[in-house]
Amino acid sequence: MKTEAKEKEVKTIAIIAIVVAVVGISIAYAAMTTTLKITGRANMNSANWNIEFQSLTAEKTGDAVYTAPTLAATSLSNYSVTLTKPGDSVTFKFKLANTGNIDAKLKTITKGKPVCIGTGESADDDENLVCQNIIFDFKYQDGKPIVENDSLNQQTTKDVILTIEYNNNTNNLPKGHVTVNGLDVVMLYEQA
Amino acid sequence: MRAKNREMMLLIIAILVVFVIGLSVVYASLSQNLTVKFGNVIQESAKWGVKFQGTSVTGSKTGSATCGTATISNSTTVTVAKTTLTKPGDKCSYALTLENSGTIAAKISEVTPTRPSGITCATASGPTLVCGLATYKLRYDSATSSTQPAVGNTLNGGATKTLYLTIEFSGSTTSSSDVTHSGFGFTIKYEQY
Repeated sequence: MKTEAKEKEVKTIAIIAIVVAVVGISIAYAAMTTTLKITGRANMNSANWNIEFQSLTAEKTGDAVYTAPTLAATSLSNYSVTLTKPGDSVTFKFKLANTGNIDAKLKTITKGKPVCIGTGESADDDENLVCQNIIFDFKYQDGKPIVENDSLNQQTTKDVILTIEYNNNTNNLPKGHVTVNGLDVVMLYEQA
Repeated sequence: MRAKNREMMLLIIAILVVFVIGLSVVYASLSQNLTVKFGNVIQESAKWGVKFQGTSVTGSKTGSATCGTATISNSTTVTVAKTTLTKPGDKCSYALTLENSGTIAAKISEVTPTRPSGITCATASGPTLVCGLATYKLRYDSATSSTQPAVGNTLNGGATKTLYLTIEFSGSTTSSSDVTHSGFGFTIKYEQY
């Protein structure tokens, strides 16, 4: 009787042990999966391309006189400058702006060469003199030159400066009136 | 004669006995106890841990794209903030690091794409979605790799693998109006290998 009871007890303990082991194994196995999730939001924007001039200001030194250019989106035109003596200068400051949503880069920049037209008897000498001493400079306001492949990213602006000056290091002045033409700058921007 | 036979028999028996004793002695000397003594045996608990490493990933942009940051939460969910694409070729790429920080090798049992809401997708299969003007991809090793995550791919215990999420303006024309793709995504399920 005693042996039977003991056997029964052992059997019961064994069954419990096996059940616990099976449950334990099941729990461990069920936990071994992981789900990784990636989600997000993307906007396909309508393309908007626009490069323009903005915010023109002008200043002078010495006895210089000027008429500021007419500012349109893509042109600064009809400006005039009169210089009287060495060191006279006029400076136009404005912005290059990319108001679109496509990055741009400068494909070409063409700076005109001064063409001097003298008057009177010494016209030729005056033309040579003035063309040698007129300084026509176009650069970024931090002093860096504007060159091809310069970037103008979407929604950004860059400050530029155009200066016309009569060489301060000369004492020679023309005898007659000299008109200077050809001081144009043309910049072509394209998609970066 | 009888005495001689008896003598012979006794001698044979003696020899036999000696032989048997000899055999027994030799046999006894050819056995050796070998003992292997166990030291400590440590059974480590099994560890399971497949996840994304880190807490955020910055997108790498191409063209005029603006790339939102990919934020990693609970090590298992990556949420990419708004990205903006404008023209063909614009792209944002994110280098995500998969890690099996456990001791149990894992394998992919599912790779499921999720379409952005309200957008028709020409392709929605595994790790690739082509929806409207955009393509969304998961690739291993680099953004331009052709190796994609697939069912059966393994990630051993302690190993890591780089997974690239790429969002690209893949259409050939620009959009005439703004279009938003919300809720695009992918789900990767790992199970024990």
